[in-house]
Amino acid sequence: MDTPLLEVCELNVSIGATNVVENLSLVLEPGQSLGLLGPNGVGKTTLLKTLAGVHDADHGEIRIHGRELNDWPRKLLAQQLGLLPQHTQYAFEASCEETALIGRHPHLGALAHESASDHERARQALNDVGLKGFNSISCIQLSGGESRRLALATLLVQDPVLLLLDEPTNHLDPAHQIAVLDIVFDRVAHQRRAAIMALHDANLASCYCSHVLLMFGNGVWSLGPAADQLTEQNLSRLYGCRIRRLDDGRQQAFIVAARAQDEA
Amino acid sequence: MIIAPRHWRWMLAGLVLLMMLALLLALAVGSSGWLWPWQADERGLRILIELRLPRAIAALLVGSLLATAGCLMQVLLRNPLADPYILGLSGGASTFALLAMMMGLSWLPVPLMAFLGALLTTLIVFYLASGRGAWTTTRVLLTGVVVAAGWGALISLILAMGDDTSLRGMLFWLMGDLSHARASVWWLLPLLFGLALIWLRSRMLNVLSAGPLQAELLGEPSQRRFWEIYLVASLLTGLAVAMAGAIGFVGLIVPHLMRLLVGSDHRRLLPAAALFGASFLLLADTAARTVLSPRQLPVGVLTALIGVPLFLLLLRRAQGIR
Repeated sequence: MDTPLLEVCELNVSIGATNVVENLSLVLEPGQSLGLLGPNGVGKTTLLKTLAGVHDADHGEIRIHGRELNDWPRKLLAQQLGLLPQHTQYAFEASCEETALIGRHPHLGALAHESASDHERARQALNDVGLKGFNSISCIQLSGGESRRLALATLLVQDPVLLLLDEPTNHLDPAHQIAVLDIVFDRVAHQRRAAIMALHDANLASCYCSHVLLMFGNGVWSLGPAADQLTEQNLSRLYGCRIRRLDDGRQQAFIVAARAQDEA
Repeated sequence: MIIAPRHWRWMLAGLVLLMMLALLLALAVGSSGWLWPWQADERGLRILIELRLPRAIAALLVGSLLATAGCLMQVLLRNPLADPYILGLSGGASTFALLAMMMGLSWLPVPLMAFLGALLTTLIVFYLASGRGAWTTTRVLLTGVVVAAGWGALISLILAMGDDTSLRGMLFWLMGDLSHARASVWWLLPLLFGLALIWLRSRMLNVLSAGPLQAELLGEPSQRRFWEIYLVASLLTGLAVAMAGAIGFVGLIVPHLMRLLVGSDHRRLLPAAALFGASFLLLADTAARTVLSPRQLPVGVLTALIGVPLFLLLLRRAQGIR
């Protein structure tokens, strides 16, 4: 690879009075997935929106395939990167298949209609996220978790090279959390995609992310391979509460320490 | 509920048929009794072609303009309850039209004044709401509603100051009335052309319905698109109001009904709404000029009388489903 998929140079991002990151530089290649971890309100969403080109950075450069983000025509950019927003609200009745189908928009000419293979993609994506049989159900009637998975299906239909996911596991039960991240992991590992995802669960991050960006607030960050970054010390500092790492020899897990142990 | 029926092509064909029947009915009935086009003598043909047909075509035009503008406004405000007048267009058009009537300016036709009023409102709302920063639905909606309230006050003022002779004409205009609306068949051509252009880009409307963030992420410059839609919808509404005054409920109830019938994909919704809007208004106008014949009612009264209960019924049904 001559130019990396995503290259961030000396990036400063803020929103209102909140300093999100200062002087952030990173490179992301296909096959890598980066987890964003940090307390509420630290700016994970804003950083993702900045990378998606819908929030302006204060300083620095973001390049996709070597080309500055703002130089990309919006439509071509939408073929390269897509974002799963934190909230999705559907205002109108539309079937799940129609809703997933709008993901094809950046791949079609202005006047074109979706082909049979586009419809097939939409149905496949609904299958993948566990919404089999929901094709003609109205998107307004879905539960929180189903609605979340429909939004992910729309992103899968869009099929960008760089997937930006804002708390993809929101509203999902544990089985669906794993299922959804498995899909993303599969795309990253086998289809030469890359992903950046904001997560609140260090355990999921350690399973599914090759790298982790810890956002401590006030622009302070720490970036590195997941195994190096996810330590008791870092996570305790990150969330401002004591976090312990348990290891039973087969699997490790981070948990919030109980009060008694906290005092001990 | 399963939506977006597979047979929407048949639905569209049915709507075309309905429009044909409505047109036939509108031509056949009138103050001079039943008159079928194929039985008419020379005098009858002249009544058909010179009196009934131009009014019928005006009704078709205004109905499809309002229904299409309603669909666009709903995308714009992301609200299935938005109608073409929600941002104050009818208020601006009415104020200007009433001013022209009050001053009795014969050289200044009322429709032209109405269109100018609608255009001015469009510009005012655009200017105030776009000031600086991003498009937000709330801001546009608030601006539009407040501007509409301002026009409302002016309308009351004009009505209070108007003399008794012109008051009746003013009231008819405010309620929406087709008795002076005339349109030749040639008017249909630019309308069809415009509708076809909007229809061709209707996949974009589906994307914009998902909200500005999603639209931006899928490659549409949503700010620009929203202003474009706003301008087009305003233009369509302005034309309709200039021809027939502020006819209510067509722009609200027709898109709503059609969403139930063919779903929310704008490639189906737009033609369905344009067709049904045309038929609905034509039937309402035919009723308006015949039920109390020889007296004529303003058609806006009938569309509201039909629209209000129908809408409440739909609303109740929708609550039952969810």
